[in-house]
Amino acid sequence: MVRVAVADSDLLDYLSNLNSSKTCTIGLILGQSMGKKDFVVHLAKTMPTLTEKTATAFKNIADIPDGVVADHAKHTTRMLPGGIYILGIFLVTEEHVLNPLSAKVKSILRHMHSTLSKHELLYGKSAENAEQLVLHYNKKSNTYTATTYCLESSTCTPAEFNFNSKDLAWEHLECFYEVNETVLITDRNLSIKDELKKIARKINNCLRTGIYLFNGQVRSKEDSLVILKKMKMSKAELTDAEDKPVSVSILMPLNCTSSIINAETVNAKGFLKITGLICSNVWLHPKYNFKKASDAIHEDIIRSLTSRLSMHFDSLTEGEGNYNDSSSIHEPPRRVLIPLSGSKVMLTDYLFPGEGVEETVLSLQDILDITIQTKSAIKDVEGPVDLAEYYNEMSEGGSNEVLPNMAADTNKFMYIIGTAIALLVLILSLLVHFLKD
Amino acid sequence: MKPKIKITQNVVERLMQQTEQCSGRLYGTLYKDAQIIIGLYKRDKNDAGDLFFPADVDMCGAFQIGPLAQHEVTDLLADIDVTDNPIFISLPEKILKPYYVINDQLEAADIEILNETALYSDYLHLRIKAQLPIVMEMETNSIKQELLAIRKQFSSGKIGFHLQKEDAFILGSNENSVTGSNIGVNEEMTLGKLVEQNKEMGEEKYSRHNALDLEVLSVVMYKKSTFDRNELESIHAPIIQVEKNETKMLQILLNVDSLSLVHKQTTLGNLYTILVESACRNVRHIGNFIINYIETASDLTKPFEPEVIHYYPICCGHFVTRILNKFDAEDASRGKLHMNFMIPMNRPYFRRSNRFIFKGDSYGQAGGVQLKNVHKDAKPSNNGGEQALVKGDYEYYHYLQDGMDDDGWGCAYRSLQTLASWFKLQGYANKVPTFKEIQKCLFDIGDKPSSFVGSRQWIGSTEVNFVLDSLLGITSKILYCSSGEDLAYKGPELVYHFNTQGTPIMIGGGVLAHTIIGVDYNRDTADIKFLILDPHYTGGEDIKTIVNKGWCGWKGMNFWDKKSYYNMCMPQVPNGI
Repeated sequence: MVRVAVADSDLLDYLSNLNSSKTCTIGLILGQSMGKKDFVVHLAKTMPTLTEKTATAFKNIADIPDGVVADHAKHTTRMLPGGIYILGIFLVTEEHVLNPLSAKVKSILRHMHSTLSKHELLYGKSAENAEQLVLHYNKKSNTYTATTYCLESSTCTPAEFNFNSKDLAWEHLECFYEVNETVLITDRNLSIKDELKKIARKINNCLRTGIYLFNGQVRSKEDSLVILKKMKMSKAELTDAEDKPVSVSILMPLNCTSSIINAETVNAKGFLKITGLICSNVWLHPKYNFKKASDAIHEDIIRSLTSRLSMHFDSLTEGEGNYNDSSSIHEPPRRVLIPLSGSKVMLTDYLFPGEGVEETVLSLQDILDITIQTKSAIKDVEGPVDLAEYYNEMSEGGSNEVLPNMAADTNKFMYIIGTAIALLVLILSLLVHFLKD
Repeated sequence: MKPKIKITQNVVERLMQQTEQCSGRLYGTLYKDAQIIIGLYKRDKNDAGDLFFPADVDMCGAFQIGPLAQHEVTDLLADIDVTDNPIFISLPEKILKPYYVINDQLEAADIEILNETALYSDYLHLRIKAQLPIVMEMETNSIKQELLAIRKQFSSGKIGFHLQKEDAFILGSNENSVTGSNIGVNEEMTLGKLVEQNKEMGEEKYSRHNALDLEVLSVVMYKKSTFDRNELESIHAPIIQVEKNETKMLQILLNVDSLSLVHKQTTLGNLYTILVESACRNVRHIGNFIINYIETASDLTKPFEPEVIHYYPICCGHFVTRILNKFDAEDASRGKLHMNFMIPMNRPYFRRSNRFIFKGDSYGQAGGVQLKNVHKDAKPSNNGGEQALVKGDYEYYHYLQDGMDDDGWGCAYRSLQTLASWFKLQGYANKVPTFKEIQKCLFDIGDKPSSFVGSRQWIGSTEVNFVLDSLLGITSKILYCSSGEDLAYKGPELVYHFNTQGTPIMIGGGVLAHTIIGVDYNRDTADIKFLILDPHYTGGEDIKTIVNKGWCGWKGMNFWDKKSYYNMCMPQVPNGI
């Protein structure tokens, strides 16, 4: 069977619009696979270099450095919800690249693949499909052809692209995962970054053993998500539930992330603690089964956790990420959700503390080639931290105890004053009363 | 409304047998309009006893044995502030007088006596297991705080439970908090229904040969790692705190292992609070142990790990849970437990080896294949006399077990193993010796040459006696019979043995050894029948074959060889705990 990719017609317009100048454009195909079918949610063109925009476009394929696409793929994957992957690349050029598949394209795909494989916890590769899609849009003829390329066997098979689909069906699932891990520090030379990597790996393993509940119910792994809609009884409930995402909760063994085996006393130099909420949202084809749905949530949580941690440590200057002599609080960027025009699916961006929506808009343009019209459409799902609370907690434990005591004393004082005044008034009024007589 | 009062036979017996004047607390469980008293605990200044009981068994009243002075009643009643309708039982002169306590006044009540079978046909046990990692400062106050925080976390709804076999998740007590793969699993379903439904779906019947037909459901505790939408306020994206603070920390993996006693009519929705309480009680119990250990231990670097052990002393009729240090030998506080539960001091109930072995658990020896108490299925005796049988559990050892090819020479070893199994199961011994251990022991004590070890030489009742003495510290009485016919006159002695000692007897004569586990002696006709457990059986552990083919059954005088002489090795139960 030929692999078929389904996409919104807007995306074809996008491709034809890229056709303005005498250049070559390359970009990523983002979407979800189910068997031999792909559901494309977005196409994002690759900027020549992400950092300095010396050139605005590539002249031809040979001009494209492999690393740029691979790097783009890495940054883009961070912004994808679980269950959505980079399915392959598209090319808008006059050159013949598909038949036979150009060696340059193969090399770009290979490079991209190896970059994504390096970051295991980013979940950059779909378990569903090992082959990569290549879509070629011919500038001259305004026609498109597609193929798949298998890296392992180095073989191509033809693929179809279908741009007439409007409104692909998506099931929205939502999960509020609680991160709460503490590790004792016994070694002063520890790198906070490495320690957190270890934690992320542990959480990753745990999520694999977790039990996933959908709207509070256990579900058979093989059943598809469609069953959730069928379960709903009345029409009122149906319309009510229409916009409501399916809520996913996770049960995990209590000792899942712990490495403690026996009771032991440790001379600790301190501790490292990561706490907070990862707001996970995934959009899946309704025919996805519950096993794949849990996997998507799992991957989303880990992808988001590792993305924000690496973004945080990338932003630090040397030495800041080490365990030095002072206590500190690290605040990695938080997740915001970005709407995609023409699709229910939302992508992710990360806001550093103090950053506003403006920064998001810029990075969206750079990485995803998205222009956000209304900034209010960006959803700040996790919310910033009020660090004051934490600094208070960290400063002195004693102060907490002092405050209520003082308050209690003030109360007593007020009480005495109040009683005294009342007495005074009473005496005065009595005096007035008797003097009058 | 005043509840009906029911009391178990076990509690009544212990109250009646107590000769000294004393007082204490009554423990029970309340379901709908019935308060069932299932346990008691003698008054003890230092410990309340609450934690020894399964969850949902709580203090429900007090008792007083001996004459009752008014000030004592007031004193005792001051203790009772937990239940709505406290019960007071007074035994002035070995007569049980139950009362309700209403506004500090006693009001006579009716009481119904319940036997164990009746109790456990309505109730079952749930056993929660979980491993809970804790990191806390090595200092009493912070340990207390940390443990309190855990219990708070439990009661705040952050945990869920999974009934493993029944595959039902109990996640809360409100709507939509019970889910499972079976049909009809919801908050309204009763626990009994769930269990039954599951059994119908091909679940094997609970083994009858477990001495106690207790139903224990295993429950695994999970943490809810996600928030509900309505909990999101004041929660933020993950942040990392790195705190520099040199402290001595205690890292520990708490093995939560807690029991609760639940009425079968309890709905799954109502189960949640009971399970949470059960887990909290266990953590409190383990916590007390840790604090006590840290405060009293002389050397904190010694290995230490709290271990939860459940006991089911027959004379209590309920589970008793204790926490011991896994690395410690037997503890000295056992005696106090005997006292406070008011159970006999002449045999052990709270040694490690007395622990209740749950289905699926294995301790020490790899799960033995031996059947227990096979005589319970044997064809009845028709002698019409006084029957005296082995008292307590034993295992049936016979030829070819454990991969040994002992057909033709190992019968006395097997009989010895059956005897030893009795001592193991009653808590006197840790294990049943193997053939090699038996032979080595006989060489060690100088009874046999070194060539004996590993040989196929048989042993007799004298050797059985030596081995029991050397390996288990059990002394035996040897009874000589000059001929098989002579056995006819041993009736009274055997009845006396089973009534007072209740241990299985090894009998050797000629080239054969057997185990006697009971006697039926008709004093009128002087006819005697022996309940024989035959170690020469070479088949598999199939109870039907064993009883139908007479490998365990009642035998008359013709079973013995008239011309051979016989020796009986009758193990004596040590007196003590």
